[in-house]
Amino acid sequence: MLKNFRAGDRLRYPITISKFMKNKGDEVQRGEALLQYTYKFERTIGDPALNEERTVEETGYADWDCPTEGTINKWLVKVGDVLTKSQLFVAIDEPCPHDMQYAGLCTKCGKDMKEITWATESMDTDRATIAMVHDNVALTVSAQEAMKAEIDLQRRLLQQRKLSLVVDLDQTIIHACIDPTVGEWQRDPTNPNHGAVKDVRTFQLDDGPRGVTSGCWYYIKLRPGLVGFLERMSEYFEMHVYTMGTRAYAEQIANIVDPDKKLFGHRIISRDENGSVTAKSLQRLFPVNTNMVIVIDDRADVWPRNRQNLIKVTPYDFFKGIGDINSAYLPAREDTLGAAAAAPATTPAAAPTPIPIRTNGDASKSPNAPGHANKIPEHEKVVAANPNGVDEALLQLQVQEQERALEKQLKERPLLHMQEELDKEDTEPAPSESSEEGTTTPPDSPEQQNGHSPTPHHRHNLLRDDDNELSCVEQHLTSTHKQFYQQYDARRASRHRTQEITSELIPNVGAVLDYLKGQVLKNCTIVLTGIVPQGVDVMASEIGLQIMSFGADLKRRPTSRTTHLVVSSARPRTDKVRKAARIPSIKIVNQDWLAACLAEWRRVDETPYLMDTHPGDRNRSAAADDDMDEDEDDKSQPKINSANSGQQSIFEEGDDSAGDVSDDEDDEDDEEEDPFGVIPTEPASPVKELVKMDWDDMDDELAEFMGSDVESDSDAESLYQGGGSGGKRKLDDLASEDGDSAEEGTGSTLSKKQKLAKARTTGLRNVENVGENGDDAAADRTAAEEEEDTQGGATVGASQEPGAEDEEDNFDDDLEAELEAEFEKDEEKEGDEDESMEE
Amino acid sequence: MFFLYNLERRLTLHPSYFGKNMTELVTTKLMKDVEGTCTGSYYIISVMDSFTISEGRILPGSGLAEFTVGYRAVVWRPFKGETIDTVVVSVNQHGFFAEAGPLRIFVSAHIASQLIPGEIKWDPNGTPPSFHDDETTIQVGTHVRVKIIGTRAEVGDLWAIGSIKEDYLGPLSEGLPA
Repeated sequence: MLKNFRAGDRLRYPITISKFMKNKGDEVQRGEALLQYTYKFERTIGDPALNEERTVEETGYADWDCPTEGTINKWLVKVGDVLTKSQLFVAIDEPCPHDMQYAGLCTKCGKDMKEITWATESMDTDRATIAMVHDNVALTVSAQEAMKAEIDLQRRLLQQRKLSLVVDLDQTIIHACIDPTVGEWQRDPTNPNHGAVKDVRTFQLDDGPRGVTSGCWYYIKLRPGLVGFLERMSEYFEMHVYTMGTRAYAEQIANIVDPDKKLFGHRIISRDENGSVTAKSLQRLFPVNTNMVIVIDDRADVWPRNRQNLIKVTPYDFFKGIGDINSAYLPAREDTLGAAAAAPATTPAAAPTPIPIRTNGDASKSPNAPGHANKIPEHEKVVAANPNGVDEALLQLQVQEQERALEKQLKERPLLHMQEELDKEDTEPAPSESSEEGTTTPPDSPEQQNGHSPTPHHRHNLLRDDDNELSCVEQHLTSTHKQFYQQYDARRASRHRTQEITSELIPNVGAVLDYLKGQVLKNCTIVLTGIVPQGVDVMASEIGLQIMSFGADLKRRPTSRTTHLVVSSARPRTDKVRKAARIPSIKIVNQDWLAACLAEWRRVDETPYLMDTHPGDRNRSAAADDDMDEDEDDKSQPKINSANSGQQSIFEEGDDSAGDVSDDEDDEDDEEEDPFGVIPTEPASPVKELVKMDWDDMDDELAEFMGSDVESDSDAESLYQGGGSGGKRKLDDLASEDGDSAEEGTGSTLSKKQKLAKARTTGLRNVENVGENGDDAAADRTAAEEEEDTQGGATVGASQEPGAEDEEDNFDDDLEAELEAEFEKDEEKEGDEDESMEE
Repeated sequence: MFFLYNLERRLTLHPSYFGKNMTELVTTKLMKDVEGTCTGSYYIISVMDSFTISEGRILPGSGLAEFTVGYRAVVWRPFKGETIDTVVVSVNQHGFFAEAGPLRIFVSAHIASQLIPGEIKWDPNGTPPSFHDDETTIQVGTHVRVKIIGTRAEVGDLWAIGSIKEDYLGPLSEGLPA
């Protein structure tokens, strides 16, 4: 193997090559002198005592020693050359490239790679750095070797028409716990949970000394339909296990799931070999390319680099409240919808981790804040805070963490407590329970869900076994597989040449997945409310990313173009709900609809998920037309008609995001305020808003709008930071809607628009009056309005005032407000048109 | 290769153990401490005999008694070029891992490395995956005779690279004698 060597950085440059000691074709040993070179240096001579010191330039002679052994192939320098810095020096034919190493030994020649001599310029261990074997991190290969291995793998898979499937264990295909209660229930046929737990598998894990939990029994519940699922999937996929549990744990589970080693074989990778304690990476197994790999996992956040390849499944939560027993090794769970809210209607039993559990007053028993499937979130946060690489201390912390969690589970027996609680409830409120029995709509409120039991047991069972997530996953997997090979066949057919498999012939399964997912919620514009916690950017949140990956357009605030408002059933009356209730085209659904869509990969029928809006809100939505008009009046900003759609699309986003900030604040502070939607939703001065705007978002939007040739970031930024009206005018300019001179254009069009707006507003007022007089419902509402007015009057008045004052503001502000209003108007006009179309 | 080796070790004993069975305690402690360890160039397999326990010397300050114990132990040192019988523990596309007692040896399947005969091919589809040709199969559990071609040691651990490409090397037709 030919390898070029550099002169090295440690020489005293500039150097002059003076003599070759070995020539082309000579065998050389490591450390042998290959050539001689000279260098100049300065030296101080003379007697300092006599003050006769002087520096003289002298010439030094030195040898250059061979860094490796082999045969000299070619000198890349000539005698007499002067080198001023390190450069390629000599090409040496090495007998062994050392491109696969095992614990510092070359696997080909058996030499020690960690040996360092004075001649060593670069470590031999750097020649093979990629660990790609499942069960051993000590075995490393070079990038070339990795590529070769991977091409072999792809070729084989293509031949068998398979793909690689990486499967997570905990909460994806199984659910594990160590609560001894499960064992007791298993042995007690009279227990209401006996039916559910009788096929729970057990094993004893002995992985080192660990106090109380050592040698305790693990209870493993397989996800319903797992055996068949894996059996069928093994025809389409080569399957790997990738878990954050220990090796011993992973192997025990594999023994249960795959006793014949036919499905997974030895393709098991666990925390011990992962290399990172907080994240999983496909590159660990497929270092070169992941074009043919699909992952199924219940957590998306642990796959930061491989989101594209991931099919996120609903977490399997059989043992309620236990969560993932190996989750101490992962960052805290953040995908709130995935865990907490995502009670797929189809799988009520797999319903969200901790929320539905009626806690028994003991705070530690309701272990987890919604979405934190862990026992002790505080420590988790510490873990999440520094997710960098393999950190011994961190690992130690996590091990202790898990230890504690397990011990707690053993001692406190959360399941037993929950069942006791359930029993207590059964005996106490018998009548209410019967009414619950009547409810057939799947998941209304978590409480109902839990109390409601389909079995005729007089004691209600805590654990139920009716999860069907795997059948969904199976569909997704098979359709992805089909799509992938359709594409592959098409590409092959288009190229008539040979069997040779080139990388461009292989479609990227990630792109296939993206495409399939993107079809699901296409043409949906979704707004979330009450789902993403305050202070978290909805666009960057786990659930937001998911929604967008499914093709939906995620917005921050409901507009007339919004199709769905997803509401958390825990907080059904937010500002956004009230706003959306006024727009009939928005379907207000609870989070289960979203979860069902994401789980089933189709736009499920919204009807069972429609939220009952609060009577106050609903009234208004009945009299939606009135409301819209009234709303416009209340805004007390002149409305201006404009067909300036380009501008609108620019500002819409900014508008939305800005609105969102204030909107969310509203949500928090005054939940009950503004029951009749009279408060203008825009804050009084749009200039203030600008400060809070999401400039990045706007930049993106603009870039998108401007199409291909966009000015540089800095350009755009300065534009915006020009702030206020100037910036807007420039924008107008950019949009090239308003002619050459922005000032003139704006001024002249403004007056026209103002007139138009006035005309329109008055017309609408008339309509409103007619409506109010004639409509009973509207009259009722006004009565209610008056009533409530007395309570909320102060705030309402306060927030109305700035709107009124707005008109008296100076010209600049006015201008902006008008522009702002104009865009708003435009939007609403469109909405109106939509409605009239429907009618 | 196995050796009988005379070694020496210093042990300390807590004052609460001072008594007439001290010698016994020291020997037990010695066995517990050294048996099964790797010094960096060899494994201490078993402590044999010939204990020469020095007089205990109280360490100033702590009160522990220190003994210097001379003993003879069976040690095993794998040498480059040595042939040993091993059991395969893991197989992958790059080669296989085989264990000889505490030592884990890797045998590379790379064609250029010439450590596995060319006709023995990797078969990833088998259950379980294996290396095989017409006659022989190497899978997890197979007994294989391996020649060590390189070792590396750190305190506490030893690693080795092996080869089966030579006469009389490779899978053993019958299992090792128990």
